[in-house]
Amino acid sequence: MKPSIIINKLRQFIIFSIWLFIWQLGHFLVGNELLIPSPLSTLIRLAEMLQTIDFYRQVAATFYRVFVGVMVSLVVGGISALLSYKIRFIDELFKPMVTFMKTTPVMAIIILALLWFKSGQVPIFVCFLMVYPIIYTNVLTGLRQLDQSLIELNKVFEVKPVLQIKECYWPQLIPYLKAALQLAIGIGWKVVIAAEVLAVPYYAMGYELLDAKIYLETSEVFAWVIAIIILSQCCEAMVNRMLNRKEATYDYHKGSI
Amino acid sequence: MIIIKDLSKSYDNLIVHQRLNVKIKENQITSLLGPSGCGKTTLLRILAGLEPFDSGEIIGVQGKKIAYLFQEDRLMPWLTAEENIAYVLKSKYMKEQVEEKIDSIFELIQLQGYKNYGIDKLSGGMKRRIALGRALAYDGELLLLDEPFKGLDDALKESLYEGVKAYFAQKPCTVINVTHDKKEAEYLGEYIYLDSKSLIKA
Repeated sequence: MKPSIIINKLRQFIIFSIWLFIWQLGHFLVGNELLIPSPLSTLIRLAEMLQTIDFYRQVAATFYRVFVGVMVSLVVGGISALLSYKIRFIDELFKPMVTFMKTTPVMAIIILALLWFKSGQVPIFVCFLMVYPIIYTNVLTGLRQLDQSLIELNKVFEVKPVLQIKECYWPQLIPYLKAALQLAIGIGWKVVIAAEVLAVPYYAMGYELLDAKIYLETSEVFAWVIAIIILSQCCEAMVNRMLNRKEATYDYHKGSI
Repeated sequence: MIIIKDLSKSYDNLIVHQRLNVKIKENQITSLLGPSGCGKTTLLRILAGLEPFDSGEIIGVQGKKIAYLFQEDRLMPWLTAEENIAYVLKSKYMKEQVEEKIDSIFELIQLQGYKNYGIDKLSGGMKRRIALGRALAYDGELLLLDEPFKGLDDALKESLYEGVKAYFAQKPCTVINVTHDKKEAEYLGEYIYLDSKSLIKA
């Protein structure tokens, strides 16, 4: 292992230890397991949860809602951004809608969604409404930043549209898509859990969070929060890896002089 | 024959061409000479269909397969030198033809060892030669060159003139070459001198 990697890992370990210490100190100062449970009791509770099949059912159900919400946002956001880029009228038509989606409080959307949808569908709808503006705005910005001189090149040399998208436009859009997805996944997990807390679908991590709170199982609440953070981070890392690989295929530094 | 008849073009209050008349012979190299700002690049852009014009007529360009070496290189930094040339060829030619063309064009531009290099690893002169190679390899019926030898040293320029002339002798096409260098224009073939807003000499 390279010395720089060892130093990096060591630094990460020290940062993690400092935060763990602050948590333990908080628990010690408050002195009440119901308000701030200790890291150890949270870890024990998490380990117990990991041994039940229900835990995986809740995780799978919530993951499914985040996945569907983000994917639908990605497809609809991508297509509508392309339409807005091409047709000025569509751009102006979508502007107030996107502003509305960006500024409306998430709770207001959840309450409305509760009236319109079944409990299992509410988190997906809320996730879509929260994530869609991020994808739409980023993809549209990326499209507007496309190199105009290359658009002329494509026109003169009559490059096939599929090739234009694959080799000319896609590499220019990847950084914008990457930034959008990084944001979208984090927000997606947060809003799906929030919607699950209010919509209480049958299998849901959000529902379990609420249940733990009702029975004053604070260590279980903390354990669920840790599980959510880990899952959200894993999803983000997976998407980053996928897009980084894609970026690497368009490596700028093939060969050197 | 490409005939440009009474062509006028202006940007807001700036008149670039006023009733310009030019005749360009087919299957030979014609250079456009003239001072900066006399509208040489604008004329190429109009011929390529990238720029509208106010009035006049252009005969003999419609339906022609056009290749264009822009004033800027317009290369994609995420592709290698070879991929940049292949990019414009893939829509017109089969895979084997693309490979064949790339091999011969890299020889012509004297960059055989740099096919797999990233664009940002190449010098300005090398990039110019890749852009020139891309325009030549396309085998257009009308080839528009905007200062093709810009930024190259004299020795390399002269050896490229030879190569380019030999290339066109093998594959004749109509070439319109914009340049500031009278020697280059004379060497490559006929030339037309454009002055501001009017045609002086043909």
